[in-house]
Amino acid sequence: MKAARYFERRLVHSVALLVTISALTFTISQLAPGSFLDEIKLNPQISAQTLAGLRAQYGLDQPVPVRYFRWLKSVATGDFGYSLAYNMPVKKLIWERLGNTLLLGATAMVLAWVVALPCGIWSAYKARRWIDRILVASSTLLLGTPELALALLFILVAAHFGNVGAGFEKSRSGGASVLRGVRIPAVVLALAAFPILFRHIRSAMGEAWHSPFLQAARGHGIGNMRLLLRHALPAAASPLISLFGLSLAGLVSASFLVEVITGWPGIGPLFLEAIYSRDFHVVMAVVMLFSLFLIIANLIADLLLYAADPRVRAEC
Amino acid sequence: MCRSVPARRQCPRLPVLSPSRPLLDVRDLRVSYGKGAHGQGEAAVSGLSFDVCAGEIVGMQGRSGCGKTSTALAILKLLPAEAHASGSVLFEGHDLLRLSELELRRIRGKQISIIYQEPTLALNPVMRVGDQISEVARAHGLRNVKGQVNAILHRVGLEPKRHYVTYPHELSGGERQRVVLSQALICKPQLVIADEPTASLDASLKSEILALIEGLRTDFGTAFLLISHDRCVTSKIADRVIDLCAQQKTVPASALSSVCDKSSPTRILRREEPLVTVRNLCKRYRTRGLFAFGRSEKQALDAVNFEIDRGTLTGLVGPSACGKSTLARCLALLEKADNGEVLLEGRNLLSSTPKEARKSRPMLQYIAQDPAAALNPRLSAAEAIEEPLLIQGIADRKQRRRTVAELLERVGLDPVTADRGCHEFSGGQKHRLVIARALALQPKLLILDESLSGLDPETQAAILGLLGELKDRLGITQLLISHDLELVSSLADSVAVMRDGRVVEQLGAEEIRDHFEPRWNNGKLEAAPKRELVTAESE
Repeated sequence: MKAARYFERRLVHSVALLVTISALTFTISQLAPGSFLDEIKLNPQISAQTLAGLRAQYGLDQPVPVRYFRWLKSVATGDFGYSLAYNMPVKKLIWERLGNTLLLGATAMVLAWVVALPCGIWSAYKARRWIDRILVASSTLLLGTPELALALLFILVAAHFGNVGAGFEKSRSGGASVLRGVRIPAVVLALAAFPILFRHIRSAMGEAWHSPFLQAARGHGIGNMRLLLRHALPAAASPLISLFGLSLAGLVSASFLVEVITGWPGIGPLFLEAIYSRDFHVVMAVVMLFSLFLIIANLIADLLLYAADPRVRAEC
Repeated sequence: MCRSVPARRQCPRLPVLSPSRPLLDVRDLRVSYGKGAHGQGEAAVSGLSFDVCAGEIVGMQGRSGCGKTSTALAILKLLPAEAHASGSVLFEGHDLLRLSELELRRIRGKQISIIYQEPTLALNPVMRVGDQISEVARAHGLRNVKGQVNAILHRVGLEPKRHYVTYPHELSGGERQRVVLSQALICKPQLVIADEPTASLDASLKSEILALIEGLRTDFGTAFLLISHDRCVTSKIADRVIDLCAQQKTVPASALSSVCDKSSPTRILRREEPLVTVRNLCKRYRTRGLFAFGRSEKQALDAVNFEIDRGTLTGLVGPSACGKSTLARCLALLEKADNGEVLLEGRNLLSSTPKEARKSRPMLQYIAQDPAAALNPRLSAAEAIEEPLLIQGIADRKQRRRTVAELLERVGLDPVTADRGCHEFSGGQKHRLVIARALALQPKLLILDESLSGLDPETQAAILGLLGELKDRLGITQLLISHDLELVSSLADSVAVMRDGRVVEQLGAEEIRDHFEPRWNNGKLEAAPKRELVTAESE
């Protein structure tokens, strides 16, 4: 009962937040100079009347608040507008590419967590031993390497062995081709996420490992493996769940740059092109998608936290 | 080496083994902390020998920092990595100090259990208490775990059905202590080492837990090594008492000389302008707003009026949650009061600009409840003390160094220890450190928020002595906040009594003694728990 009220409140918060973000994004992008039609203006064959007509047709002659509320109204009915550059509805355009981005993001996320979790736990358990030192040092190195450089490096290596396989074409491809295409960007993304995950897991586990209740449990003669997994891990779960929420939120947005470099047909390249060509509705839709993911991920993390930590349950 | 206090009850009740062969035999135990692998570091225990017979309750007492906990941990080889233990701990023919980790694991919890100092910290916050008890049973291969856990929960006075599924934070302090006891006893060990099992409990709970321990000894024939700083606790149920203090270093004599000396407080005869005047101070707490529904308010301070005279020690007493700490924090400008005036030497601090307020801060020094939490463990003592000087830009490097040494000496610490990390000091020494830090800026008013609760009587007395000395020699005005009326009235020149966010009365020195004894007996104010045990024992 209490929990339902708590999440109801959180939901109201989230909707308010989304509306605020949309208003801010809308205003700020209107402040930027130029619009899609400015490019057409350069073409001498198109007359001023035609331009003014187009302007009126797209409603660009209206003041910003009016346009914002129109946009809000159509979004509320599920219509995200029309892409001027692609000449198709934004929803359809994004929907196609969202699948690709999610595929890449999820693969990378699973990869990163599957590697970072055992590494972090082991590193905390063997703190200051050589295995820990090696892991910490390599995570520092990775942390300092931009994912851009990593991606280029991987492409270079793959090209050397004649095995690039960046991107894929859905029409012709089966699962093998997808796997071939997702390899490089997924590994690069996972490597970029690894040091942050690893460090957080290591420090959370380290703290739990040295907590008084763990010392007490050791005093009761409970074995190390059980101490580590049954006692320390649940106690360290809270910060890790927040971290998990963050990586969920990054599912669509973190791969942006890597997609562009490796030619992955996801949202990243689309977003970049839309910004260049001032394809306004696409930009708005992508930003809203990013925010929506962030908010949903936070909500999920809170739910998980609520389930994992009895103290949180008592508080709210 | 160590002095055994003559037994109150001469003979252990249930000698399972022959008395000639003790269950646990500790010989020449030395524990040292620090770098040197073989005891060059700081010695916490030096050459301690004692034994515990089967079914016997042995008390171990001593001031904080004299190695009680180190001894307890050393027996089961649970000391932190930087500690080093030597000597021998014989249990059933094995020297525990020489056993491997795997062999020790079979003894820990099964044959010798340990109860850690603070049950709140010793229980995993995200595990049900029933599961935590059955963990211990499973680790040692017990059968019918669920039934055994329920039985032990019942034995320690909890309801198995209800309490099995609760989390530690849902329990009271006494219930947590019972859970920790059942964890220790689930495998029916031969010896339980209980480190301050009653330190965090109030008087009636204390007696209940002690009675429970005595009952468990009778039922299970378990021997207890009962560690406590409280003499009343050990002498109440122990068959023998080991006094660790007798052989360890003592605090500087100067600090102990004026302990609780009722004649020492100098009464202010001349009535001059008070140092601090508080008028109509109000503070209200709200729950957060924006989209949160059902916000509530709590009036923490409800028009507080009182005065602190120059060069006196004023006590502020009252039951918990009456607004004492809020008042202290408002006075120290750590919390912004909603309304009212705080006059320091006639200037209103609440209406001053942030810049002026910053200038007044050095004059008001606040000492928080828990010195361990108030000290940054990464700093050395010297760094901690000179920090206020650095912030205020006072003195150069050399001068600061000198000031630090002077301050350390003033509060009864050895200046040689200045470069030790803050975390290396004992509880009582940390108290001295925070006082030294507060003194660094030569404050006019020292606000001590429950600074003395949770200390053992000797340390408490020593710190009280120090406060008296600061008042008499340096004329530093102090506001001592406590729920312990007896403690405050022994030292204070005047006492303000708070209830429900108001100062209901302020009494002078004579009135304190005249008024408080009868009042306190009426149960009008919260009394200090320990007195009850003292009387119980002397009967």
